[in-house]
Amino acid sequence: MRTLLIAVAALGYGLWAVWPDFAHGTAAAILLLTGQVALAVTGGLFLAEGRRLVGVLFVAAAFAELTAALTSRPWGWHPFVAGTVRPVGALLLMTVLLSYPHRRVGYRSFVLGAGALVLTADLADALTWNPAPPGRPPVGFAWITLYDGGPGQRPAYGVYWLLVIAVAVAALALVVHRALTARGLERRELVPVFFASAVYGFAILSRAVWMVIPYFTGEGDPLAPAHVPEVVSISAVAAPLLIPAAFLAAAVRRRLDRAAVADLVTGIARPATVESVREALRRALADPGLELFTGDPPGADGRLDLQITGSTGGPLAHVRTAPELRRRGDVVEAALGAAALSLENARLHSDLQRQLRQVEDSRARIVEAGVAERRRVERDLHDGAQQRLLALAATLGRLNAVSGDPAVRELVDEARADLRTALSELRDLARGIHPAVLEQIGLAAAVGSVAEALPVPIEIRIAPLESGPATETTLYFVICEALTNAIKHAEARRITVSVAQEHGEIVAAVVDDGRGGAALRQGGGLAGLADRVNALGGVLRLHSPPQGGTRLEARLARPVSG
Amino acid sequence: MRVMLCDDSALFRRGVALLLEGVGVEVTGQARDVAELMTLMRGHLPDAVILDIRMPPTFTDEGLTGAAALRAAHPRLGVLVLSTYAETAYAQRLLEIGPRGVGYLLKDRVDDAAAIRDALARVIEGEPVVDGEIISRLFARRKAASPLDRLTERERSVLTLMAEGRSNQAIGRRLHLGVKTIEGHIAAIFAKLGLESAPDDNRRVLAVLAWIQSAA
Repeated sequence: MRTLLIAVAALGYGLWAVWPDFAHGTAAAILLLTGQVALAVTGGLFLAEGRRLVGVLFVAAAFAELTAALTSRPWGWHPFVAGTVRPVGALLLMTVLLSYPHRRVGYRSFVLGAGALVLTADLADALTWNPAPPGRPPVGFAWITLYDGGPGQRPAYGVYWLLVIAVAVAALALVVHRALTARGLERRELVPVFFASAVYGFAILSRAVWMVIPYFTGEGDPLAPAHVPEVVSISAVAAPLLIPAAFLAAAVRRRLDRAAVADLVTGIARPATVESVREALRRALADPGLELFTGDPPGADGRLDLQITGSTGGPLAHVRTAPELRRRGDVVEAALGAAALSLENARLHSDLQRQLRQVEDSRARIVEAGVAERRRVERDLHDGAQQRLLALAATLGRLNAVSGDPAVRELVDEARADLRTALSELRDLARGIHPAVLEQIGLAAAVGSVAEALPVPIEIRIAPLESGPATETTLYFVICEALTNAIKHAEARRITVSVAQEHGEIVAAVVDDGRGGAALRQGGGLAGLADRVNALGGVLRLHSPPQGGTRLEARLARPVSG
Repeated sequence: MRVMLCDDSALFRRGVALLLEGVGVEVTGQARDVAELMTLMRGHLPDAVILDIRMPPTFTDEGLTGAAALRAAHPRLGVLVLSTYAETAYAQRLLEIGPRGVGYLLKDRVDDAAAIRDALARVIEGEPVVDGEIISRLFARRKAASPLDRLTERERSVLTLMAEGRSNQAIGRRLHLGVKTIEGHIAAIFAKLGLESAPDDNRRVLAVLAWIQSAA
């Protein structure tokens, strides 16, 4: 609302001020009016945002510039007033451009000193000069008419424009200095402002150079400086137009920076790492030198030291960044908040990963311990009961050889038959506990050995594996169980067994053409094997539609060694 | 017939030694592993050795590697492996080392002194011997288009017993047939396997090898 009022006031006042020129359709008048109204609106917007200094200076500069345009009315008090306020608008704009984005006047002594000198010279010239053409009576406010000739006869005129040139050069130098020393977010935000300042300063400087020429040549009319090339005078009124545009660009930039913080959260690689968070912060805060310390930060180095706090209030990390960022508290705070989320996430993630790995490792170790235990039991059977029974077999053989009694021989034959059955059962039992031959002849031969005893043609395609005994033993038992089920329950007539390594994963599949309809029952043989496969980081899948054959597939994600 | 035993079970060694001595086989040495056997053999070379497969130091396949080493050092030595495992893969590995003069029997056969003695005699003669259990597994496994398909049931039984190292008389006794009948079956087997022209001893070996190869 206030902004609208300011805009209307500036437009009305400006129209009145430039009307005589405007009525003639001068391009310069239109540009001047547009530029100054835009400046006044920018000032209004800054006021609405609570930036008093910048806002007031902008509005005041706009009204001062419009007042200076009263040169369009060469009668009464107008020329005096216009001449007096001539440098005010530019001085105020210079103040803004050298101060923004700080809330206090920047380069204070320079601004105040330069302003005082220029205004004094200006006032001296305005008071001592009769703007009426030579030979005509003095106009309005020219109380002390010391000079009424051309500019060459007015010392204050020359002093004034020379001072303007000096101040413009100095201000340009300061703008360049600021542009070179600005860092990070501030630099990114202020680039358009620096550019507009430089163009504006240069336009003021060029006009001043042209304006001072009559002082030395004594030619021309200072109020209607026809000797100034049109491009220079047009530039001088057009340049202020750049300033609202530059501040608009800066505002957009600032919004974008704030929005970039939102990207920070989504832009951090999953899972987040300290490095990815640091890179995201560097991007969001435009500070390539930003550092992130998860431990104690090193001693203070003049940079901004910020702490990232976790949701429990504990410190997660320290950030060292450019001190200019102090001014962008909103962006910095949001960025640190996002970083805290990501870091905390990363920490939880790595904790979880570690715990998961521990659980997986311990499950794999349990399976491996089980394999080792089964191996021990098998060996005990082999070295103990089996050898004893075999010695008994030898004794029976001797008995058979020495006895001539047919009744004894018959009994011995009976005992031998029983013993062979016992030995065969014991061998099957031992093999079911641990297939000792697996380590010797490999999975392919061991499965082949099982398959050759079965009454169904079995196609076996087993590639050489890079895996440990636990994996190989588990696969062996999975395949044996699948073969048994295929023959006993599914009444399969053809079975295919395949084991291959695909992309570091071992895939074992047993496919039959039987009845199908099999399921992983709780407590069943397959369920127990599924647990073992899971414990080794794999999965066991059963696909068995009714009447559609059965496919049992074990996938072991990584070869387990040991 | 002088034989040395190599098995890590003292109980089993003792049983087998007594068994063999009962049927007139002289056991000239007993060792608990292949290294010890090698040492014993430096003094008196036996006609044959009986080896276990799973022995110290690693308890894996020492018997098979030992068999290879013994064959390389003493080409005429009979090597009979007595194994706990009815594994065709083991038998095949052993026959690759031989095939002449090597035998693979299950330890269960020690209840039949004559069978062990016959097998020892065969390997000393330079013939291969393979356990009947292994042979029946190989029959089940052999490839479809094989000359073995043309053998009759009876001829298969004869071939199996032949592979076990039985003499014609022993085969006859086992199948309750006369020696002449067995000789007829063997001639038929040789004919079907295309082995008529080879010398008699070799034919027995070749017949056994023929189907082991066709089954492998």
